[in-house]
This record gives sequence, C-alpha cells and structure tokens, in this order.
Amino acid sequence: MRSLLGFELYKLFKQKMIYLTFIGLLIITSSYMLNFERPSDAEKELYSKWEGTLTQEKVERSQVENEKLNVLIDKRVEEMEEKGEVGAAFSEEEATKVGMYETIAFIQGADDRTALRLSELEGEESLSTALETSILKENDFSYFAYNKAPREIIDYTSTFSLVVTGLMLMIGLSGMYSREYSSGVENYMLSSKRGRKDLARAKIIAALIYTFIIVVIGEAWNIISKIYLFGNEGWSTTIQYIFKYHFSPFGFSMIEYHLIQLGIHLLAAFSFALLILFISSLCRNVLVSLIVSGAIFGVPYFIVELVQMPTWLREALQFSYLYIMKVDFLFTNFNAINVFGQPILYPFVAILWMLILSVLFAYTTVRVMRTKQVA
Amino acid sequence: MKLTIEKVTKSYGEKVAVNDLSFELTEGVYGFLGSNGSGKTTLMRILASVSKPTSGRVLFDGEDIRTLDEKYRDMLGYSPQHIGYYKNFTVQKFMLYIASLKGIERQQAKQKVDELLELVNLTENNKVKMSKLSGGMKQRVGIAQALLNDPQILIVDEPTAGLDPKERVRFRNLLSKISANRIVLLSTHIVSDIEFIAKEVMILKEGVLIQKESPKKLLEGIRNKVWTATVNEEEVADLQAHFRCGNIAHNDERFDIRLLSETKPHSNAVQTKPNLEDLYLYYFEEDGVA
Amino acid sequence: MKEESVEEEIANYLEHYTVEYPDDDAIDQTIESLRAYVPEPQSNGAAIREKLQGLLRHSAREISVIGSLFWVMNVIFFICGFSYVLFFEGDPYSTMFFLAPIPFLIGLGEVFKGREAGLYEIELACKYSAQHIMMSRLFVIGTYNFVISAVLICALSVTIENILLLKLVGYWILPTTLVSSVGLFLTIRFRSSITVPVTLAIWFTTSMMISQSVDMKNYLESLSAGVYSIALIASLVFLFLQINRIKRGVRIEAND
Repeated sequence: MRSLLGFELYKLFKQKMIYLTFIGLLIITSSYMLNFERPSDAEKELYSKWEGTLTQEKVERSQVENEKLNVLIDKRVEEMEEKGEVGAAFSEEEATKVGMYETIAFIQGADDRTALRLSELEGEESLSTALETSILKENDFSYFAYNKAPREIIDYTSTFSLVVTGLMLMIGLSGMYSREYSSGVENYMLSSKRGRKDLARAKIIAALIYTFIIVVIGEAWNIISKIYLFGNEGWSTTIQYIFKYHFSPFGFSMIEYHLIQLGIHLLAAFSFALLILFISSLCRNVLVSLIVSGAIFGVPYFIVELVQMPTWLREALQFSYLYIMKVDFLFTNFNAINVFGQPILYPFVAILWMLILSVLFAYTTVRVMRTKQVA
Repeated sequence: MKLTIEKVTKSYGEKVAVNDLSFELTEGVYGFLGSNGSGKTTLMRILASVSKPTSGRVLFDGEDIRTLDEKYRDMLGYSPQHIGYYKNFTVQKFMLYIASLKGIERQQAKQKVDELLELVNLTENNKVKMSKLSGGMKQRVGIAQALLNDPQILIVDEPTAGLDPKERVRFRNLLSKISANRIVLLSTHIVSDIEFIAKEVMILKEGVLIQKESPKKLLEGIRNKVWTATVNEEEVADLQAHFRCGNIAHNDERFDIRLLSETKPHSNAVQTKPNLEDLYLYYFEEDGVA
Repeated sequence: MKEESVEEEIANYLEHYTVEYPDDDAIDQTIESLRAYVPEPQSNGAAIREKLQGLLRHSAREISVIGSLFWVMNVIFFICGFSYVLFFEGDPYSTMFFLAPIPFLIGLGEVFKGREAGLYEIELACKYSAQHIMMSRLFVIGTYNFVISAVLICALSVTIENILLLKLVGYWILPTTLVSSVGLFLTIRFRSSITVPVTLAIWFTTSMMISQSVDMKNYLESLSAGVYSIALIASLVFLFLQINRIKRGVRIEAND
C-alpha cells in the first residue's frame, strides 16, 4: 500500500506543468496587490494610540474628534470653492484619521445592532430563537486595532484562493484515472492483485495529500504576502470590521474566523478532489473529465449569480462545492436548518454535507474500480 | 490446477466477439491461433479478468474467478497486446510500479525486477525511459512484468509481434523454460511461435472454438492434404486461383509451390509433411479460394 | 571431413553473427544529409498554389477525424456567451475577450492527438506526414475559431444597441493570437492532456482578474492603437514561429 501511494504521489508531482501553473495562478490572482500601499508610520502610530478595548469614553471622543474634523474640512471646501481652487481639501493625515473614526463608528454600529436584535428576539418564539440569542450574547466587538492584513487575508481566501484551489485540483487530478486508461496502463492495473481496490485507496489518499499541499502553499503565500505588506496586527479584532461580515451574528476574532474558514475551505477542497477522482474513474478522456468537473464546480455559481429564482433554491444551490469552498455565505447571516425540531447552523450543515459527499464519492470510486473493465 | 471456461459469451452490442465457449485448461502451454477479429483478445481479456463475460463464467479449480477476485489476480500474469506505459518512467521504475500493483514487497520487488530484466536481456537498459525503447524492447518489458509475481496463470497476447527473429527464438525458449507447473496461454498468428512448445493448439474463428488438440493430432488431420509442386509462372497463377497456397519460392526459372488440396492438384505434385503453417492456411485462408 | 568442420565453423560464425542496427541518431543523420538532395519544388507561384490546395484537401479530410466533442463544446460556449450578453446584460467586450481563444485551446488537444496516442510514428511514415496532418488540423481549428468568433461578433452587433464594432474586434483578435501562440508553444513541448487544461485555467483566471479590476479594464481601454498593433504583431510573429516549428516537424517526445 505504501509503495502504491508513493508511486501515485510521484506521478502527480512529476508533472512540471503543475508547478508552473500554480505559480502562474498565484501571481495572476495576486496582481491586484500591486495597487496596495503599505501603511505609513504615521498611520500605524495613530492606530496604535487607539488600539485596545473601545470604552464608552473612547467612542465618544472619536465621535467628537470626527465631528470637528468634518466641520473643518467642510469649511475648507467652501473656501476653496469660493476661490475657485481645485485639489484635496484635507491632508493625508486627516484622511487617515477620518477613516479610523469611521471604522470605530462602523464597529459601534455592529454593537448597537446586536443589542437591538437581542431585544427583538426576546419577544419571538421560534425554534432558532434560543440558538441565535445564545450566539449573539457572546459577541464583544470592543477590541480595536489596525487590521488590514487579516482583513485582506480573509478576503483572498473567500475569493481568489478558491479559484486557485479549484483549478489546481481539476488540473492535477482530472487525469488520475483517465490517463491510466489512455496510456493503456489500465491493463496491468485491472489484472493485478492490488490494482483495483488498493490502488483506488492509494489514489484517494494521494489526491487528498495533493489537495492539502495546494491549500497549504496557497495559504502560505496569502499570509506571507499580506503580512509583508501590512504587518501582523489586528488578528484579535472581530470579523465585523470586514464589510461583508458586518451583519454576521458570529463574533469571531479574525484569527478564529480565518482558521474556521480555512478548515471549511480545505474540507470542501478534499471533497471536491474526491469528486474529481470519481469523475476521472469514469472518463477515458482527460479533457472530458476536466470539463465535467469544471461544470460541476462553476455552473452553480453562474446560475446563482445570473438567474432569478426563489430564495430556497438559491440557498440550496449555495451548498455546492464552490460556495462552500468560498465559506462566507455560511457566516454572513444567521441561518439554520431545522432537523427534527433541532436548529442546525449552516456551517455545520455544510460540514456534514461535504463529509457525506466525500464518503460517498470515495466509496463509489472504489466500487467502480472493483468492477471496471477495459473498453 | 485447472481453469474452466464455462459457456462464456461476450458481446458488444450486436456484435458477438466470443460465442458460448466451453473448455478446460491445465498446466502447460496453450497456443491460440486465430486471425484478427477471431475473438482471441477478447477471450484473453476475460481470462485476465480485465473484462467480464456477458454470460457464462470462468472457474479456477472449481471456483468462480469473480469470487476469487484478488486471490485470482494474485496468481495472474498478463501481458496485453498493446504495452501501455508511462513515457517518463524508466524501465526499472515501471517494473517496480507494476510490482507494487501486484503487491510485492519493496525489497523483494527490486531483486525480482533485476532478475527478470536479466532474463529478458534488458539489464543494460534499466535506466532508459520507456518512451525510448524499441517496439521489441517494450514487448520484452511486457513479458517481464507479467512474470513479476511468479504467476500460476500466464496470459500473453501477441507477445512476438514486433520482435525480431532472434528475439522470437529467445522468447520461445524462455516460455518453454518457465512453463512447467503453470497454465500458459499465448495468442499469436505466427505459427512457428507455438509449433514446438504448445501442449495444445486452439483455433478460434469468429468467436467460436473450432479445434483444441495437440499440434501432432491437428497435423494428422491434414496429413494427406499438403502438396508441393514445381511449376512455371502461369501455373502458379492457376494454382493460386484454385487452391489455398502457402510458400512460393523461386527455383531457377520455375517455382516451388506449397498448397493444400484433397486430391492431387498438379501432375508433378508430391505429398509432403504438414506443419502448423499449413494448418493455419487450412483454417483461415479458405475465403481466398476463388 | 575437413570440409565439414569448415562448414561447421561458418555455421557457427553465422549463428553468432549479429547485424548491428544503426541507432536512431544515425538514421536521423542519414535522413538529414539526404534531405539536401531532395529536389526543391519548382517556382514559387505554382508551388504555393499547390501547397494551399493540398492543405485544403487534407483539412477537409481531417475535419472528420476531429472529435465531435470539440465542435459541440465550442458552440455551447459561444451560445452561453451570447445569452450571457443578451439576457443577463453581461459586458459584450469582456465576454468576447474571454471566449476568443477558447476553441483554439481546446482544439490543440485534437491537433496533437496522434502524438499522444502513439500514432506519431505511423503518421510520420505515411504519405501525408504528421507535419501535414498537424498543419491541416491547425488550419481546421483556426478556421473554426475564426468562423465561430465572427458569428458571435455579427450576432452581438446585430442584437446589442450602440455596440462598437471596432472595439469588439479589438477585444477578439489580440487574445486569440496571443493566447493561441502561447498555447501552441507549450503544447509543442509538453503533453497536450496537461497543457490544454493549464492554458484554459490560466486564461480563465487572467480574464477573470481583468474583468474584476476596473484599473485593468481602464488600462486596456486606454491602450493606444500603436501599442495594440505592436502587441498584435509580436504575438502574430510568435504564432508563426510556432507554426513553422510544427512545419519543420515536432521531434520532441512529450518530456513532462
């Protein structure tokens, strides 16, 4: 078994094009970072002055300061208009300050909304009320710090890294069986003792290892590039600082959320890898295998984004590989499914669903190979 | 040791490749003779368990090979007609790969691979990439890999296609050397491959087994039907039009011709000892007769 | 008595005599040196016409060899693209940009099918050599790409109001030539079963990044005609270099 696995890994990683593609995809999907500017020392200093728990006093002070600054800027704009001047009405430093004050107000909004929602829930009597209340009660958004790096890291994971992972899996794994068929090696496989069940298992493990490596390297690149640009601060701030998660009921810190996000991304990637392997075991042509996997991966996205449909269908379609690998929709709102009178949160549903599909396709692949015939 | 083929039929849609075959094989070399499309390869694939019969079954010592599953494949060595391979694997690596498919332990595998490459005379090429091998060399790798697990049942489909005469002789000797205590199945359309080493020759035609006899018995069946004659050029054409003709050789201004006929085909024809080439001609070339 | 032993000796000698086959290099060398003596085709005009006719004839034959998957899939892609623009208000230029090189990339698998199936040696030895066959297939998929893109351009310009035809053509030609030549470059060197997915993936990601980024789009829009032409010419030259390479014969075994 170990030597079978060794050979499978060898065949996978011997493909030079895989490395070129991986590097190419990472570079292309990171090209947007060229527009990024590293924070100035002044900006970092400003944030570090405000870093820490946002007390009532601090929030109020930021409101006052912001007010003052806005009045000043408005006045300057008027003056400039009178004189017919054009240009920036505020300095770099002032812009940074306004940005920061607004962020504080922004996170304060999340706090207020949580309180409001909690009071709403008190009057409600639905199945998931208790669950939602218990989640919301945990929330504490009060920690404030400069957090550009974690924000960007989380954003990349739910956008471009899913493209990179998805494509790399398809490219690397679509040929895993198809290529055996087209090269004629299937004859040896199917007529040898370990060439059916055990080889299928070895291929499954090899595919999972490949997936793990792809995700880990992608993650390493993501982390290193962002921390290099923005520093390593802000991991303890909550995800409500990110616009996408502003309305999320889950009060995870950036580091907590990123780990959860990465875990679910990896799980979905594992599951997708097993699906690709299964499709490959049925297709004699690598390109067909690739296109079928690509369609299963990509088509739900286009349907959801483009077609008008009832909400339940949209939600259902989101439980496809791409969206679960994207992770974000599981956490942006409070969503639960009722299972025998027990509300189950979307993230758990997604995890369960991916596990079921993984087991199903792994099992079916082994079954297919047990009875496979040459064409 | 006994391999029983029981009412095996294999059809692809409308086309029946193997039609209700039943026979038994025991230790020794069996030669399959058949023209292209006779069902040879299909039958061998079924016996090699890479293809399943549409109906009927194959039994090894009374047990269905499908229930034996791994146990059966553990006893099997199969060299397909077209040798598949990975281009970027060296010969040695490829052999080790097959060894791992056959579940042979790493250390043992290395030793066995060296041994077999020696046997098929490829030791010097063991670091050469598979894609750089000549057709004959690939064929020899195919044979070597089939022997990796010391198979009880050895199935080789057209092993000598692409081998040069010297290699063919070597292969034949190799086969007779290893055939003791094994069932060896060998398909070919080069008759001389099996003439001296086959215990029985099986003749397949359009998916049906039409003969299964020792070469000697088979030859007896056509004993009085093989003739040679020395004739001129016009007569050659005439004979070819009416009889199944084998070898034609120049003999000064005239030709020596070998042909099959129930009766004396020409005034100076003499009867001669039949060989398997004649047999092949007898069974497969009748369409050629006008 | 003596005669017999001589005979035996000769027989023995012959028995052990092996004919040394020349190795591949020697055969190649011989062919290369003989090539100089192959008569040059006559005058250019007639020769070119003859060549063209030959190419067309071969191409017609190759059409049937190219898998139906190739034809059908590309039609589906283009229909999807067209409906995306028409029914979902997709941007016609980005859509054109994305779709333009796809038929060629997918078709590369078909062009090199013979090499991958181990047929290359047979094809090389046939009257119409592998080079001929590959050239004709390239011609077929190139033409198909052209036709299908042209149909899409016409369909878009008829159905979408205020579409800038020239801009649409611009969004079509450069990606087609550039990506096709890179795809061809890679496929000559590596196995097509890997280069086709890879080039498709890279192209997909690149065009996704471009369509997502306003900056990139603006940059492309603001490209001057001069820069555009230079890029176009460069990619055309690169494309022809690759085609020429095939014409001379692709001798490299897929060394991946």
